[in-house]
Amino acid sequence: MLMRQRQKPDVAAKPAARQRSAPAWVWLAQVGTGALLLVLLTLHMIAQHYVAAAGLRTYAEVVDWLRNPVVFVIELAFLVTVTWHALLGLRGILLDFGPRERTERLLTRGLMILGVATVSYGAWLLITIAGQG
Amino acid sequence: MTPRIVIIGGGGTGAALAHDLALRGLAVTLLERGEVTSGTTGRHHGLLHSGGRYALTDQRSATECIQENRILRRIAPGSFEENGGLFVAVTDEDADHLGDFVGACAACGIPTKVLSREAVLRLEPALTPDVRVAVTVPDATMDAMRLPLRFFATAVRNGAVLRPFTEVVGFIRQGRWISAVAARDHAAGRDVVVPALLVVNAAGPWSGQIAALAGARVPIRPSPGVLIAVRGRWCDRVLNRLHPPGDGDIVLPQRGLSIVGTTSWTTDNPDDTQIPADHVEAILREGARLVPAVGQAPLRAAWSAVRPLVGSSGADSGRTLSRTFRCFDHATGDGVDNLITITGGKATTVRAMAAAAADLVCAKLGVIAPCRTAETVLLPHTAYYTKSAVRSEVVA
Amino acid sequence: MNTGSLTARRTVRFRVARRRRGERECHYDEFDVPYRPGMTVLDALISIRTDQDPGLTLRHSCRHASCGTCGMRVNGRERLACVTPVGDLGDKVLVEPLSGAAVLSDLVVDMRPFYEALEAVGRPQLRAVDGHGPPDGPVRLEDCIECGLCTSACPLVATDRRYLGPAALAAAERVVREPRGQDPAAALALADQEHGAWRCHVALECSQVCPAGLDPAGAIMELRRELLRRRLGHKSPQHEEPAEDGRWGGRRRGGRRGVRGWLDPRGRHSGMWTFVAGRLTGLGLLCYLYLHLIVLSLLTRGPGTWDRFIEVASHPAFLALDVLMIAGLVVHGLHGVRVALLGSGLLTGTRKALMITSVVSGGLVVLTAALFLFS
Repeated sequence: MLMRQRQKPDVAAKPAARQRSAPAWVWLAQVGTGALLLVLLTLHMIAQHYVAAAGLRTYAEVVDWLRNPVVFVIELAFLVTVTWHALLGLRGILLDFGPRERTERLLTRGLMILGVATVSYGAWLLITIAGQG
Repeated sequence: MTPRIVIIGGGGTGAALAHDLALRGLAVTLLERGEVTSGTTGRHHGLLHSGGRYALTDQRSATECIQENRILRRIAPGSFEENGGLFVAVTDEDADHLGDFVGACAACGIPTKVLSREAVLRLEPALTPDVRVAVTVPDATMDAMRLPLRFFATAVRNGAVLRPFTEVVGFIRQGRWISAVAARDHAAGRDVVVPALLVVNAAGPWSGQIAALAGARVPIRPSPGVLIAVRGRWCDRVLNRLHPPGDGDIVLPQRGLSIVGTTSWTTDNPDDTQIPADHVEAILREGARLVPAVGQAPLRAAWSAVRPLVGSSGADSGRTLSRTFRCFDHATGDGVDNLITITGGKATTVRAMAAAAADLVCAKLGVIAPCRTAETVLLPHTAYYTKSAVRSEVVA
Repeated sequence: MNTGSLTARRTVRFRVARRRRGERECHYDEFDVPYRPGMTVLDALISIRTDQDPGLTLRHSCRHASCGTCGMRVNGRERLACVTPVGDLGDKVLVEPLSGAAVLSDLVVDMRPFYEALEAVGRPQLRAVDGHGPPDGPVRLEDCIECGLCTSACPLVATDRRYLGPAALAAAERVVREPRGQDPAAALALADQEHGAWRCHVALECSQVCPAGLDPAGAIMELRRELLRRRLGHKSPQHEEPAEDGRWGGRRRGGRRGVRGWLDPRGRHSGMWTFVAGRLTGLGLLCYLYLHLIVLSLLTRGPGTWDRFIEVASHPAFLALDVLMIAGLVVHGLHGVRVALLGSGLLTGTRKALMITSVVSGGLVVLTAALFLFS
């Protein structure tokens, strides 16, 4: 008789495990950035496209616009929020496929690095463009 | 491979017997042609009898029922809706039975309490306003499938081997001795031979057919009955009509459904699951006399189950046949030394049936091992799926 | 049930998935079954087994939707065979095993991972008849019949082998609501994992297929609301690990439909489509984000490059792509709002209204944007 060996998931057998990442916070972060995006994206779309006569600003207009410190801060916040939301969402989709725990940890780290890189590049772009006036 | 005790039939009887024998330290293999509990066992109304239903007409069954009722509650906690049952008089004629009924219950050791019309309507407001008087009994609702699964799970933990989807096709004989059981493993699509020390035929209404494969005879009367399920839970207690057992006179709750049963007739083909056209209507009509809402509730299902009653052939409705069980040793009369048939009985009495059959098995094998099933608490039904090594045995 | 006469006027063609134990692939066999009034899919399968192929293996027991063993996919949709009338299905019926579990043979699937998750949750078999009654009042057997239809229908079970699944999560919610001696904190901790209640993405298919009329999706939302409440308050439940290999289900290969489970249109509902739309638009917008950054980097190359880009960007074809992008944003945004609300346990009583409002307002926004762009 072949006994099938498999560890049973048993709550009672493993009391007080360590506190890992809190999925409730991940969820809240996704909802929070999503809500923020509703505001920032609307601002971004109206300011960058709908207000502009041709739908897109000319080079000079863009540079001029970004020199306004309020706009600069809003666009920077938009950049951080959208990157956070997008990569957290991507992580969610990848987690749908149930990776092993090690893969999951690597994934989270990889996406964090990608996020930092994206925000850094975007910030550099903003600063460079605003500095070209 | 060393020969084992082979049980044929994966219903409640086979489950309890596999558990009993495994607990006595014997090596058991159980063969079932389909999924376990796919025959009569899973299909009954799920009533844990107090014995009240048989107290007036079949005292032996009634006494068995109340004894087993108490034992099952002890060994399978959590498997019963322990809300009790009521025998309800809805006509003056019913009410005339009251004294006899209470007396008969007392004689069988079934505790009762008489409730006035007002008291019973407070307990079960959906009861017909025609109710005259009612008597409480320790009936309960059980999960017809999951209780046997607990027997199976515990049996497997104690070394029993279960082989569902394995249909017995014949016996390999050496004179008066069955040396092996020939079967078809449908899941793998191949024939298997299971060496047997002794064979117990626990195939319920099919036990006549199994015995015939060995040239033996069992006086079995397959007796189908129709049951219906309607949507809505109209009561919390098992409701019986206070009169001699008849059609459509039980209403009991089962989760979000109410089950109404049954009818009774006899047949020669236990695979016949036809529902006579008028039975559903008759059951609903009778059920509505107890609980009017049942007559209006949407129908969820109607089905039939075949009781394995013990009795000689002859036309009758099956109502007059005893609900008690019988154990046959085919060494006497049929010339098969190691074949036993255990049949008859009820879902409520499977443990007692198993104990009797296991006692006979032990006597025939010369094994001294007492029955311990009345004291052994069963594993939860989930263990049947999570811990059993079902379907993993390799047979040459 | 099979009432009525034996005079068969029409036959129904059953196409049944077959697989012997140990075979890797399934094949389909066809059987013509004489129709009888009132015949259920289970009746038909048993008549196939009796009259045509005794080797057909399937699970069944109670025949009235109380035991939960005869769950299967009928024409793509999860059903209990015993209460599915053949008369409602037309002349061709496709019968397949449940997905989300390994197939043992033909229509029989391995329920072990399903029950392991349930066992870990530890929901009692009994419950109070009414939650507010006295503790010693009438009891009833648990409503969930453990049939596995919900896990088969769930798009996340289709891909995530570690996902606890709707049945076990709904069971955890029952323990929280009515512990009956079990530990609600342990059940909550089990649900409070990345692959527990937080994995649910509100496709709501589980509640659509439940034959007992239960609402596992609603139960998951309740769990999340409770978890959020505790997270934002002071109580913090301990975390538990799943099984040693980190997987709740799918010990064996096969059984899971993968992304095909997301895209199989048969018998699915609006919640499922918004789930797929949310996922796809999310991926699309992620690509767009990086595309946008690349376009913006043109600005660092001076006015000439930018003006040439503006010329390209004013072309109607490009504008059409803009409309597509805006539609994606709107779909994703509205789906997000809906999921954020339901997934936090808010407005769960108005799912349908929420869906209709989303579709109507989303359509209007996209239309306005398109008119603006092309005017």
